[in-house]
Amino acid sequence: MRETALKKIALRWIIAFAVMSLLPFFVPHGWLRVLIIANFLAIFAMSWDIMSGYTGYISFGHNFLLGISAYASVLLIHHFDVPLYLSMPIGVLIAAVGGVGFVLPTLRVRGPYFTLFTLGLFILFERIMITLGPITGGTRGLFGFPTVLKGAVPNFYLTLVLVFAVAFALWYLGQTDFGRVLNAIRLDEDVVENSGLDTTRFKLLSFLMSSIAAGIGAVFFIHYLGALCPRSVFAVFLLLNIIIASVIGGMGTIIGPFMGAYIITIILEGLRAVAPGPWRIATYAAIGLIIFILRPRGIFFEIQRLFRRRR
Amino acid sequence: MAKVIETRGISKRFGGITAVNSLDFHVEEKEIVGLIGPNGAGKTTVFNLIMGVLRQDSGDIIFNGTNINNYPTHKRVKIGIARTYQIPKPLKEWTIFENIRISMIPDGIKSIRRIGGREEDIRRIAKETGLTEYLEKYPDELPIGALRRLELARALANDPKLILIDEAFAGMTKEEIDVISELLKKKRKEGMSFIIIDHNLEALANIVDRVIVIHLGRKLAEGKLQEIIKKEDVKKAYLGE
Repeated sequence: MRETALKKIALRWIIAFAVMSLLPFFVPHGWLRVLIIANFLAIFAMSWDIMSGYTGYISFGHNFLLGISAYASVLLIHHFDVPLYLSMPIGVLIAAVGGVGFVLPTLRVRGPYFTLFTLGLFILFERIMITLGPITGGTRGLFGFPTVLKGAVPNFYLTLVLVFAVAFALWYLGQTDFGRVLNAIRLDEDVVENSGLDTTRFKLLSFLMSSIAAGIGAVFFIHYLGALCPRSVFAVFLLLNIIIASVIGGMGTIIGPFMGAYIITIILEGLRAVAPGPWRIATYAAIGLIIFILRPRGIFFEIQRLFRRRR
Repeated sequence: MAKVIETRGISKRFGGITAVNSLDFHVEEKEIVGLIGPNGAGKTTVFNLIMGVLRQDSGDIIFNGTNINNYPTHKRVKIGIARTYQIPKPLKEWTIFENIRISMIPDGIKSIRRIGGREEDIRRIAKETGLTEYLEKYPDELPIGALRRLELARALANDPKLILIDEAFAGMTKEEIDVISELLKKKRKEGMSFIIIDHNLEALANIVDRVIVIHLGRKLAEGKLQEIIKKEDVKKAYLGE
C-alpha cells in the first residue's frame, strides 16, 4: 500500500473510533447496554467472517468456539479459583486449540459436509455441557463469578476498544495476500492449489484466527454478563444473528459484519416497542430477508459503490 | 537428455471403467510432446494423475528422478509442474493482473507479511502471452482465446520446468495459434518441457517433437506425428474409420 493511501485509511479508522467513543454523551444508558451487546455481536460476526465469509466454508459451529472458551474461563474460576486475568487468556487458548483440533479433520471435506460437521460439533458440546450438570451447573448454569468492569459506560468503552482492535486486526489480514488467498479459495479452491498454495494450511490458519478472535469475544462477553448457562453461548438465535449480521453487512469484508451487527442489534431493540413478542422476531427476519434480496452483496458493498461514484 | 517426467505403469479406474491402463511414457528436457487420442481416451485423467488431483491405483510417477506419488498438488506445483485447464478457470472477481499474480503469492503465514509477485515479472508474462491490454480487466470481459492464454500465463507464473497444456489451441484464431506456438518454442529453448493435449493436429505438427496416442487408457502408438497418423490402428481409433 502506498503511504498516502495508508494515511487515508488510518484516518478513517481513527475518525470512526472517535465518533463512536462520543456515543455515551448522547445515548441513554439503556441503549448503551444495547450497543455493548452490538459490540460483542460484531466481534462474533467478524470472527466468523474471516473463516466462513472469506473462504466460503460456511460454519454453523461458531457457538462451539464461543462455548468452549466461555466455559473454560468460568469453570477455572468456579472450581479452581483461577484469577480472571489468567482464566480469560486460557479460555482464548482453549478456543484456539479446540477449534483447530476439532476442525482439522474436516478441512479436507468441502461444502455442506463441512457445515454439517460444524453444526454437529456445536449441538454435541451443548449437550455435553448440560449433561455435566454437577460441574457446569447444567441448564441453570453458573453465576456470581467476577466481571471485568462494572457499569454501562466503562463496559461500553472496554467493548469499543475490543471491537476496534479485533476489527482492525482482521481487516488488515483481509487486505494482505493472506486475505486474497482466502478469497480465492472461495472463488475456486482448485485454482489456488494449482498455483502452488497449500489450501489446507490457509484454511487452518484462517480457522485459527477465527477461533482466537471468537475466544476473545466470548470470554469478555461472559465476564460482562457475569452468568453462564448453555443458552448464553449455545443459543441457535445467536448463531443466526452472527450469520445474518455477516450476510447483510457483506461477507468477506470484516467491516460489513461490524456494520451488520450494529444494524441488526438496533433493529431488534427498536422493534421491542412496536412489535411485541413473536412479531418482533418475525419482523426482524422479514427485514433481514428484504435487505438480503435487495442487496445480496451486503450493505458495505453498496456504501463502497456510493463513495466510488461520488469521486 | 534427462527425463523430466516419467510414468511407470500408472492405472486409474473409476468404478468399472479403466480410464488409464498401465501407461508408460516419459518426457525429456526441452521436449514438447503431444498427447492425442479420441474423446474419452483418458488424456485429461493423465493430467489429473500427474498433478495429484487424482491418485493412481497403481504405478509410479517420477519427476526429475523423484517419486512424487505421495505429493499433494501444491507441492507438485512448487517442484516445477504446472497445468492449464481444458475449460479456463479464471478467478472471476479478480483482474487479469491479479489472476497471474496468484501463482507468485508466498505460501502459508508468509503471505501476511510479504506481497507476492513483482510487477515487472507479471507484465513480462502478460506481454509474452499477449495479455497486456487486458491486465486491468476482469475475466468476463475477455474473449475465449485470451482466457486460454491466461491459463498459460498463470502456469508460466509458477516458473515451472514442465507445463501440461490441456487444449492449447481450441477457440483460438490462426494468429493466436502462431503467437502461442512461437512462445512455446521460445520457452523450450529456455529449458521448459511441455505435454500438450489438442485435437488440432495441424497446429500440433508445427511444434511437437513427438506424440503419444492413447486410446481407452492405453498407449496405442508413439513417435513422430507425421508417421503416427499414417498407422492403420491410429486412424481407426482416432478417426473412427
